[in-house]
Amino acid sequence: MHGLGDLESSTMQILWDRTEPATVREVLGELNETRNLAYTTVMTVLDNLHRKGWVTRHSQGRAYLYRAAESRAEAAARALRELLDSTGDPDGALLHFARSASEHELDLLRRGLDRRHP
Amino acid sequence: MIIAALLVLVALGLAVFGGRVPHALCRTRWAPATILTSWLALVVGSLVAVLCAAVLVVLPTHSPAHHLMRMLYPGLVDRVHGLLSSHGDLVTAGLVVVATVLTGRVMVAMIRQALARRRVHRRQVELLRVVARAEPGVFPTMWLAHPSSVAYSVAGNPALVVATDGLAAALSEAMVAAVIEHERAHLRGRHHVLVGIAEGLAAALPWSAFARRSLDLVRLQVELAADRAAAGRHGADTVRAALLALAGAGPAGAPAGLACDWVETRLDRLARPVSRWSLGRFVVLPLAGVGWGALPVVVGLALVTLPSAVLG
Repeated sequence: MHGLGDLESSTMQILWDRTEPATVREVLGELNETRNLAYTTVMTVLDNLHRKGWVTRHSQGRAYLYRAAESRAEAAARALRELLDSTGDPDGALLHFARSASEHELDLLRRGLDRRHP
Repeated sequence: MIIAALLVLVALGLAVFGGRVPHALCRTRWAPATILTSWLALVVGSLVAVLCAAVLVVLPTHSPAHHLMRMLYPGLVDRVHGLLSSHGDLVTAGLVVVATVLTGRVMVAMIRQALARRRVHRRQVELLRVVARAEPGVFPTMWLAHPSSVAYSVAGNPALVVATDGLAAALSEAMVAAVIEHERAHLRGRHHVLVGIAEGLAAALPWSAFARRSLDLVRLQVELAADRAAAGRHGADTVRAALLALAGAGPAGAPAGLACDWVETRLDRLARPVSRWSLGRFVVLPLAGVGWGALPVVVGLALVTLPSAVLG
């Protein structure tokens, strides 16, 4: 699925499925069951994920051990909160099928405020 | 100068006095796609009319427009010029300046809107690609493991539909398919762009009733259009059922009108049978709508570009 960065996604799936932390080499091994990636590629992916806060790491000897920063469910909830946070949506970016009455009210209140205090 | 004045007056007239237009468009009961096209033609036509007027004002007096008017109405032009005197030209120039500035504001607002939408899309993709399960398709559906019932679409590259597992659990398979199809229709029809244009207009011209009401018009019509597309594939009853299930009851005592305006209208539209093809509805009226909006564009462009030799 080009454009959706499925390396980052696949890496997170691997870490979420594991109970103990993983090294770059261990993640590389699992990813290369269906791909042909270089060590440095996976290292970059994990580095990016760490920078963005998705994973934590601690060093063990010369290698880093990576683990998911939160559980899959917690990550989904946090992402969803941000995905649906209306202050981040300049109207029209997201078109919902139907919104609950309270969401709509919040939206109208916010727009009223925006109009008065541009 | 007269043509420039006319062009500008039509455009400014729409912004200042056009408050009834969105409601009138809504009442026509045309297909949503027709209403949206007519509205867009009006808006774009007005913007182009102002730009053409600005060019006409800047052109030297022996412009094609001037020659054409002299040719068609030899006595009229001199008489009108006599009546208006030089103040008329000044007033026209003033109006054109005002209109051009407003047009500039509108275009800046639309560009800002587009950039903001792109930022939102980028952030959405960044989050979704890590936490969502992608269901492949022309427009991939990104599934979130969350108990809430949510479905929306995000325009961009790649364009996405986002839905939660909670929604899939709350609705039947057919209803879920209908909701996803509704969101896909938004992406196919480029509705986010239309809403963005309406938002830009409302932000740039907050005093204009036409701009404010256009926003509600466009938002409603894009939902009706997407409902229609989903109903075409999955049946109107399925879409109605999904809408009823998801719109949900507000907090106790919430006024019925507040959140439920569009829901009621949408349910109502879904309950009517879609009218069959007819010449009037699908050919004459859309052409009229588009033609009406495009008239200023055609007139302005023709007058600006035709060489004066042709017109003598």
